[in-house]
Amino acid sequence: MNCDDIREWALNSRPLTPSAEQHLLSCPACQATVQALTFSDVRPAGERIDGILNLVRTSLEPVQPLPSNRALASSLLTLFVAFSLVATILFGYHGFQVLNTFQRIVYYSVIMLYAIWFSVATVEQMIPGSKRRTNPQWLPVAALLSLALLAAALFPNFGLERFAGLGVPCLRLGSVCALLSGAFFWLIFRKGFFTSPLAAGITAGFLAGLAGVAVLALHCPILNALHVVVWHLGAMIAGGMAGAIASALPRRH
Amino acid sequence: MQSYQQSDSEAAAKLVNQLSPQIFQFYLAQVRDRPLAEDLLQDFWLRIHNARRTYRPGEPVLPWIYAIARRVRIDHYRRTKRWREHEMPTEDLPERAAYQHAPPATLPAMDELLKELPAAQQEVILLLKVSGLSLEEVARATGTSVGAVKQKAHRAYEKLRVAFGGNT
Repeated sequence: MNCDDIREWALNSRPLTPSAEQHLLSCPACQATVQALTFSDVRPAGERIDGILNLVRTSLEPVQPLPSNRALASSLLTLFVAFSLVATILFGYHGFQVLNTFQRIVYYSVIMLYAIWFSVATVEQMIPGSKRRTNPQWLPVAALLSLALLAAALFPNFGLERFAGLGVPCLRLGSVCALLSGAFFWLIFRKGFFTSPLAAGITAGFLAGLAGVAVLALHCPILNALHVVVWHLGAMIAGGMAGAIASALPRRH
Repeated sequence: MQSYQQSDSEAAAKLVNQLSPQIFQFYLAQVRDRPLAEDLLQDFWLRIHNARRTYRPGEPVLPWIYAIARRVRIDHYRRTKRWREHEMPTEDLPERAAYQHAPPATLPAMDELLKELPAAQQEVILLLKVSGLSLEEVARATGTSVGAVKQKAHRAYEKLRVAFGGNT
């Protein structure tokens, strides 16, 4: 019987144990702490509850619960792959042709891995109170850093010839693809309820940006680390920024 | 909750009657203004109603409920902050209006002490002690980890103990 019993009570929602109650009799500090953390029963006015019930009843219609997180993430991932492939067919797959087998396996696998990760993180943002397995603050940073390091390792060419001239069209294509894929992702995304709209917007924006990066990885034949880091990953940042701006737009509740 | 999703009017009434007192207390402990807490409660139920399809049968209800309750509170805070930034007082408010919004006498006296805690610690304490959520449920409702919730609760507890002259 000591203050640890009260500490344990304060850190949980369980009622006081008999030993903790015994301790309270002899410890004024613990008595005061328990009193501070015990709230009296205050209720809302009955008329207000009736008003709420009337509001709810007037628009009561059956709704279909959203599918499981896995199903929603799979839908986002399917859209991601379908969009990347269709865009690559439209714009050409010169990038795929110039990569060797090892580069293809590693580069596309890492992009796919992040697509899965961002899809899961996006779905977690859509469902209130869902278990968070990913940290939406660190995921974009981790993705950008690891993709930049991967580009440096796979394409060890750091020349700056016609850096902006070759890069700007890539950034433009990547950003357009990010915006278009973001519009498709929105079809799924809008079904959710966002308890953190900014985090949700950034995560979904980065997923859309990653679709832009995937299109460029299949399309662009320039195997230059700096080009990939600045102009390809720039599309991902553009997607994240667009997502952040979209999250600030007025929403209907 | 499932019956509510299937438009069962009785289930909706039961849910509103059962949950409203604890959600009201959750708001009242934070805003310390009874009419405002009731407004937030109403806003909360409208959001719950609009978001009811995001609840999956079989999942714990309370984290879902409190995640939305928390969002309503944050939105209200941001809205009033914006208003305060743009409002210019033109004349003194009548005395009666000020009286109407004074905290009710039914609030516990120790409530003032909680006011001194940082918002995040206060919220965790309210979810644990007012709403009776478990650590795991609080973590889900606030979108953080169980470890982070434990840490906030522990810090709040230590602050209260120090305030009451106990050893840390």
